[in-house]
Amino acid sequence: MTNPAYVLSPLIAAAMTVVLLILVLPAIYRDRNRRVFLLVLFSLELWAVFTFAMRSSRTIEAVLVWDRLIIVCMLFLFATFFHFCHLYIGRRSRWPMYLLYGAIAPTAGVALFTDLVIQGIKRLGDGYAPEVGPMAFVMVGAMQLLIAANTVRLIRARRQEVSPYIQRRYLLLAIVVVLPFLGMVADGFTDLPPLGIWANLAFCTICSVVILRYGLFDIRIIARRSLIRLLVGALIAIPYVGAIIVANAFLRDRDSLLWTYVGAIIAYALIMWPAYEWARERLDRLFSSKRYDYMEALRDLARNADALSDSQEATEKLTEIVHRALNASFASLLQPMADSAALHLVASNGASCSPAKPILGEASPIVVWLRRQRRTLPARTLAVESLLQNIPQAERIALEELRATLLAPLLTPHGGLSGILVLGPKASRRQYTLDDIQLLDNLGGEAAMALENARLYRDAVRARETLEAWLNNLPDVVAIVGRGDVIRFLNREGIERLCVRPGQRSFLRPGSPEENGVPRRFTETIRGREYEIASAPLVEPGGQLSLVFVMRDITERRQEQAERERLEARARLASHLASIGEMASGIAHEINNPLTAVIGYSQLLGAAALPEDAREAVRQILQGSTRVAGIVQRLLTFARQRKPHRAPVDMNEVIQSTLALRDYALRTSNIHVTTRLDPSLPHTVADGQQMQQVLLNLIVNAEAAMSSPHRKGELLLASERQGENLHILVQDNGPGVPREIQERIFDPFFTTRDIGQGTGLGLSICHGIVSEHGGRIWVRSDGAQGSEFNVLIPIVADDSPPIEAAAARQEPAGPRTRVLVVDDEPSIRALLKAVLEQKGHEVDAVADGRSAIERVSAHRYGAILLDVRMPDMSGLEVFQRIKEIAGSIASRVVFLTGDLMADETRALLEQTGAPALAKPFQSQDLLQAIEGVLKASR
Amino acid sequence: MLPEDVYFKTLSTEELWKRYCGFLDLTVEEFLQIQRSLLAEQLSLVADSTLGRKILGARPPRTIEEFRETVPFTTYDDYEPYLSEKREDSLAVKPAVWCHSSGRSGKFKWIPHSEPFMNKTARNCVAVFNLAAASHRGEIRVTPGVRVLVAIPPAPYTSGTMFENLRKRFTFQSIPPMELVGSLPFREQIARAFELALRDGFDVAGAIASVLVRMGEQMSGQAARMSKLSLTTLHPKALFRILRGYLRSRAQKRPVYPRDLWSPLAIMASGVDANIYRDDLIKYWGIAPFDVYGSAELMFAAMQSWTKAHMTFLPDMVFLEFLPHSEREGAESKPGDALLIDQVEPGKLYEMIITQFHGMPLLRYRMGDVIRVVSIGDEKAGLKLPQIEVRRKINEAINLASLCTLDERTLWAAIADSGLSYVEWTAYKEYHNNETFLRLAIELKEPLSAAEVSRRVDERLKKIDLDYVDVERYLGFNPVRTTVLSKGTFARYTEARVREGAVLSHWKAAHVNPSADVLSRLLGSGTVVDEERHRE
Repeated sequence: MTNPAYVLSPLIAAAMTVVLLILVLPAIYRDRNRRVFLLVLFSLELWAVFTFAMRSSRTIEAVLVWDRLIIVCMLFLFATFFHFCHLYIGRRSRWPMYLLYGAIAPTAGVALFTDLVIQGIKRLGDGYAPEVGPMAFVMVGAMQLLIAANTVRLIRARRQEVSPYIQRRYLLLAIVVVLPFLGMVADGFTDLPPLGIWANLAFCTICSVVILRYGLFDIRIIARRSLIRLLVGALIAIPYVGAIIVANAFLRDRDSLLWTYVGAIIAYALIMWPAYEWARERLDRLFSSKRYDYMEALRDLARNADALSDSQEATEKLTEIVHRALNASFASLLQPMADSAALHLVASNGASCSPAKPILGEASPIVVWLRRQRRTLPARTLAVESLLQNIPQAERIALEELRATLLAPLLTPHGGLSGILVLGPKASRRQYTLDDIQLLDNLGGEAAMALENARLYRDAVRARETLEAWLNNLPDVVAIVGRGDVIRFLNREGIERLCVRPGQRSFLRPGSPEENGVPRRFTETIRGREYEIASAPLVEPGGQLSLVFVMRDITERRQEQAERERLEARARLASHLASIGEMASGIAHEINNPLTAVIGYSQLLGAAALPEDAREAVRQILQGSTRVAGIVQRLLTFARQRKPHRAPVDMNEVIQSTLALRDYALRTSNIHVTTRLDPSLPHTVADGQQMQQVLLNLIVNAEAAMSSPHRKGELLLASERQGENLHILVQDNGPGVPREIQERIFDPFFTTRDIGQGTGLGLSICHGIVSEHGGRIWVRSDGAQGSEFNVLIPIVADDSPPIEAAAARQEPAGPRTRVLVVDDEPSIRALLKAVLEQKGHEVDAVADGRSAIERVSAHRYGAILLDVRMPDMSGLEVFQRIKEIAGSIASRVVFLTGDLMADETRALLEQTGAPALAKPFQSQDLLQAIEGVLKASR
Repeated sequence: MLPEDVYFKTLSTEELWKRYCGFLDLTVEEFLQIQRSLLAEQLSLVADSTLGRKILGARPPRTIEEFRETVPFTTYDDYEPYLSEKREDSLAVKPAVWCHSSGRSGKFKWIPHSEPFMNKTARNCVAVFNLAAASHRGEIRVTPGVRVLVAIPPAPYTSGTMFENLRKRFTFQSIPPMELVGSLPFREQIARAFELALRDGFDVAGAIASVLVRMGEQMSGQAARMSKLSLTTLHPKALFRILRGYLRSRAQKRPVYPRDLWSPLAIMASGVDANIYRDDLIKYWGIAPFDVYGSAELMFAAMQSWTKAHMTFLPDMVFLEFLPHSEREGAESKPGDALLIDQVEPGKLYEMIITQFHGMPLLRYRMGDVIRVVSIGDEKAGLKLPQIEVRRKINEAINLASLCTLDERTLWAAIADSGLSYVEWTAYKEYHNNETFLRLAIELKEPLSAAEVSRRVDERLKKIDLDYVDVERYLGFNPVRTTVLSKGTFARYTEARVREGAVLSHWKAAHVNPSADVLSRLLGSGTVVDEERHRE
């Protein structure tokens, strides 16, 4: 036999089988299936080797021996394959195996040592062929039954299997077993060219497919890759061998056979090389498609890792990549939450994501295991690993609900656990291979880095946002000014207040940021606001020096401080005025009584027959004392704080009396006073004292304004009627009021004088009084020469009945009566007694209230003059007692008052309805009062 | 939890070994790590339950250390009002099953067990099968479909519950069928098991050691005599088995033993007598028995390794604490006295304190079992965990003059080693003329004087228990006093108890400290020969 294709083809099958043996041999201890499959391959290998030996043999006898050995191998091949399928489909019964092997052993003996199976060998054109004996038919029939039984069982198992992937595996196993049988039948019972070895090659090829493509056994990738190369080689070799056979058939008798072979090989090599490459690549892709997917996944993750700045995006992308690359039913990611170290479901691809409750605790045995082992944990290990038997039931249930199949730790190079990838079963229902797990481990490392970066970025952004939020919520302006005076950072308050933005030049004066190592502090007014500024140097991570400014708006604080100071001053002034009032009241009381006596006696003397010079002296005494009385009265009016008391007021009189108060000061200041008063000026209802206060303030201000620059001046006071108002003008020729402060001069505490020279309250009080009377006050000045203060007071008519007593001040000449004088001051008692007796009245004078009551009880008086302020019993108390004794007598009382009364005393006095005479009074006033009382009693 | 069958389909042999026998490879630290985390889960689960509050108090401990320092030890009395009425509302988690103890102490203790616990129990059953059948590390010989010969009481007895539970999770062929286990009287159950085993064979046998020995005796007797031929025994397979057994026994020129009829993979024998009957079991069954430590509260707490030497604790069944056992009666124990597994010392006795896991109620529960730590680890087998043996129940010991304590195991070993051919025995403490004696009441198979029995037992005790030597030296006389009971005394007692409808555990008289009633029954059953006196 010189046909190399015929001789060498078994070696191809042998080589293929060796490769399969190499694939299956590792980890043979793992399961019995693998061990039995190894027996199948051994049988196949022997078959191929014996076939090669048979075809290489030169004698018919040798061929016969090898052929019988081939039959034995074939028998064991079918038996072991049946055994393998028996175990593979989960059958555990042993008796069929005992039966099978029990039958095979004697059959093998028969085939080997008798002619019952193979009687002889015949030569055919393509090689040798056995001449089968009678036993061969029985054997083939038995094998048919065996194969049929096996096929039925595999088909049944296929039907029961739900996974299409495993179904295909069963189908291929059912097909593959038929192939050697068909080859054997073709070789033994037909004259066809030898097909048995090709059937074996097909058997090997399909087995390889089942192993590699459909995962019959778990094959490591390197071994698989090697196998693919060999498989490609074998596939290419098949047409080659076929071509040689064809060439051999055509060129059998030619001498050029050897050269033909050489030429064919060269041509084949040239032609088939691209085909080889193409086939290799296709097969590589077919069997290693996952590898391509894995590489793509790794590239994808690496490509996206830098861009995955958003944590949520990173987790979603990661689960998507893993889900796709491993063809998992779902991929989920467990990570600690911000507020809890327990691992929650944060992202899921292929399943719903409800991160309501934690899946794994921080100290879960699974987490501990993953940290320690640093590799993917198949879920089934949970049922295997002793150290994982303490998983809390809740976690176990959670993982079962998740349908977790693989748990891959995402570990950073420093050993930190970024999260755990949880994979569900494969979508194809296949098992995860070692390659899958290896890829997951690789992806885990990459993903951990990506997630860690995303987390760091997120933390940095969050920290920056937090810092910005803090700075933006500050009420102060915070600015960082870098090199070139450019603002590098400005918080929201700064942007809104200062109307500048980062990137613009600084609005602050450059200066040393610190003094003696202490941050510098200074104040500066920017855009009309006053800021207290602290600055300090800021060394940035790059070593650059910037300045940080913290600016606090203190405008309001300053105003509040000024207001507080003004209020304090006002309080001090009020206290001061109150003291003055108290003092003036006391002085007035002390002065009025003797003054009453002086005036009264002067009048008495004036009425007496005296020499002219003495009369003139008495007149001067009377005039002087009357003037003193007026001064005292005005002093009291000014000093005493009281509620407004509205009454008809003659404004001209108010002007005159006010000028009289400042007469001396004006004169000594060389100020010439001119009045231009409208004599027909109507009265208006106002508080005369307050009006006097207004005019006094205006006059004093004018006086101060004129006296300081040139120690003289012209002061004009004018009054006129303007429609329904009274207009009063106070004009001076002082330096005037600058225009810019004209609006503010009526503000409280606004003063242009030096500290201690004025309170700044005068014009403010004037403004308040005038406004309270419904009028207005304003200034007119060109800011250079002189000023005019204008007061406009509405004319208010008096609705009260006119006071008759006040109408005429003429000495009455009424009836005589008995008068009781009650006053603790002896001079007053004597004066009153003298005046009244001079007019014909009978006068009793007592010094206190008790005596008065006794007198009233004993006598009938036409009038009683009753001093209000007396020791022991006041005039009002005496009045009440008298009223109790005889109500009619009470109506004849005239009260004598020594000073301006307190408001409540005044109110009580008014309630009595009795007239009152204020000391010092004129004799006429006294007599008129007596006359009035007597008239009323009549 | 997946059925155990699935693991056999999906896991490799190595993985199967790790699943079922991986606990043998744990270090003490790993063991404690598992225990601690499960106890932490348990504390969080039970804190709000009625029973949890009752035991742990209103302020439950937050740490394991606090738990061990503050929570008092409990006994069944603390739980009885709730558990005896199966009040599930008092528990933190709804239990999967309720089982009760044998009632040997006089009352049934009802114990609830959780679903995870029962899953682990099924796993441990398979572990027991495989460790019992293994001859070396990593060997998995028992797979689904295994034929198990059982002689156990039905559920809710603990062992019956355990097998019911296993049946739901693991495919095995029960011999006799589990349906018959509950319906047949115990003796008929054994007879039926024998018949079926004769026909179909079996792989694993599980029962109390003495029962197995008796079963062996019965089976060999039946096989030898062929006295009870039934349809089953006439089955060709049974006949073939008997023929094969007969030929094997003839070849060795001895009676037929069970081992001639069957080749079991494993024999599980739990109880104090397992060690006593070890040789008998090997003789009858051809293999050493496999011992486990279990009870109604524990199901399984410890088991032997493939070496079948001493037992190793399981880490995930209950939280284990060890209270140093004092022979002195009435010794007070404080909560903080209990030790963890890393604190036990070899050679010392400890009382078992357990805390259930997975929300079940028993907390720091005194089991009443005394164990002895034989060694820390087993160098030969490569085990690192403490190796233990169960000595006795805490109240089942006889203290002689406060010098030594003799328990059932010691006494039994002494009697068995003394060469006496006996049927059954019981022992108790006796006072006479202000002196303490060990009274041994024994039914012999051969005629022997009471004094001779005492002498032999005394001799063996001196060799077995070193403390006992001191007793005789101190007292100056042999403290063993024997009463020889007439033939059939124990059989009559058992028959009477069966007739009275007593539960299985009460059929037999206790070996140590039987009750006065039991004693009077035994002593009044027939002729009694005392060492000191002879009376009718």
